[in-house]
Amino acid sequence: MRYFSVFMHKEMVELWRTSKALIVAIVFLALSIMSVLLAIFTPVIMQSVFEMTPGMSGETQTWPEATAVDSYAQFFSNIGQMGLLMIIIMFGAGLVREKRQGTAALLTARGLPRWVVALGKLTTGVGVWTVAYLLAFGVCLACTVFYFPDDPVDHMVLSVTGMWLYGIMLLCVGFVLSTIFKSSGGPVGIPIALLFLLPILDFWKTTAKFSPNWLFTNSVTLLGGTVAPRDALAPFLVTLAICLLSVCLGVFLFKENEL
Amino acid sequence: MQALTIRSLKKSFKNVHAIINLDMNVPENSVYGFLGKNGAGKTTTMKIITGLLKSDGGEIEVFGQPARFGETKVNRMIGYLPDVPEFYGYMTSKEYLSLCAKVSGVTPAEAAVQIKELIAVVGLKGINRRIKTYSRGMKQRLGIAQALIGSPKLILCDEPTSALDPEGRLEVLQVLNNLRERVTVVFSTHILADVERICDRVGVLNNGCLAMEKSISELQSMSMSGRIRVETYDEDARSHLLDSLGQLPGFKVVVDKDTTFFLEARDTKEAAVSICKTAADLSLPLRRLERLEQSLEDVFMEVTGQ
Repeated sequence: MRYFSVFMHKEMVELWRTSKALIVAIVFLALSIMSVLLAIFTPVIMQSVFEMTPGMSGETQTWPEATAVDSYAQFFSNIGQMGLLMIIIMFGAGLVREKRQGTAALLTARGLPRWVVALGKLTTGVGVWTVAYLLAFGVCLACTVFYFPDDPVDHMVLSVTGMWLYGIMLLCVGFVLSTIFKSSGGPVGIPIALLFLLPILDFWKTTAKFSPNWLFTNSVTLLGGTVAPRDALAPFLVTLAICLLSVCLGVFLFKENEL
Repeated sequence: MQALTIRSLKKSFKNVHAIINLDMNVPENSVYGFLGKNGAGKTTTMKIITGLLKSDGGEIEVFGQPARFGETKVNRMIGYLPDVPEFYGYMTSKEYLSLCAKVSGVTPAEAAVQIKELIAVVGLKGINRRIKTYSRGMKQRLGIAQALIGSPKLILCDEPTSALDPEGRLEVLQVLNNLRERVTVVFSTHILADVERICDRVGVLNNGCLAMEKSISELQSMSMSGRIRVETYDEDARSHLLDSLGQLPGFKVVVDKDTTFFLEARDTKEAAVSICKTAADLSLPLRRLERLEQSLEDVFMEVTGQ
């Protein structure tokens, strides 16, 4: 554990000195605030567009008022796509970078256990995702409660945790790919591809019930109460299993990597 | 005790047999020069010793302890300087050395002392900026410092002087030389003058195995051997001189033509004296007497088949 804490200290210094932590915080906060504002102003924007459309000026159209669920829907959509994209690009191939630069070799040649380097890089990515996600959600929650005070939602914790775990899974997949690929392309490209291709599994009802993508697509429906929480159990377990398997495999493979 | 023992080491990369059957012994507290042409396998050997590459066969022991791929116990006795050391650019040299000290288990108080000393020794004193602004030479110096932090018993340096100016090179060689009584040093280099300057023992890697392993004094004896060119004024004088020299041990005529002949001798200095004496005894004047000595470079070229 001594080695792990030494390595994590190095990672914290890196996050600060390279401004990665600051950039992620700023972007996530911006996405969070934007989500709430988009939810509030979407009906107004739609109304304006409708009135400006030629031939529609005399017509009336009622747009549903924004609700708290709309705010969270925007949050999950923005963070789940742009936010996760950013996290994968910045932290998905951390281990590959250490290998390619030779910095990992110098420390392991000195006696730093390989599992420390591997888990340290993964922990950094997971930590940044977790902190940024919770910070962004905290801001979104505060703003949503402020603007929609009498609009409670269901199963908030389950919904938030599901999206968080989904992000962890993508990072874990990137981690194990980092021990296989020699360049960043695989560890970054494949999780990004999964982000956009996993929804295809939803076409088959059998796989859709267990797909990790369920956690992403149903984060909003859980809040609205249109999906039962017990339906989340299977995808939760599958996602957790993928995470654990990826971590174990990644640590094992990195121990066998030639540096 | 042997600081480093390598037995029957093998390593291949796809179809390339980098190391075929390497046996090597490095005595404790010595400076060992590891020579070989580009692609001979020196870096590969060092990386296998430090557990960065997996061997295909053979055994390695560091101070009697087996060194195996992925195991870190032996690494804590080793300081390693790769040929192009890479560091975390966002750190200063002190911070990086502090990180290395922590990994090596050095106490903070001792680390502070070592870092201050090493930074001064490698000539990085007063440089507080981040490593990403360093020149290659400065990184090389930092690399030497990081190899020495934690007081390792064995230092492996892969071309430690390659990126340095002449002054820097001399300083580094001095540092390595001063470690002699406390630490075992193995360093690979192409600069034969560096080998002659500080090494006790030299190994030449060629075609995947150690083509030659000798002490530096044995090597220097080899380099004193060579040829002597003798030219007389006429062929009769040449024949007469050759007949007399033929009686003396240790001479071998390799070329004999017209008024000139070449002799191979183990010690050309002594041989030249003998030839002059013999010619004087026979009252035969010599037109030319030239020692064609084999340099260390010639020895290296001969061993590596170049």
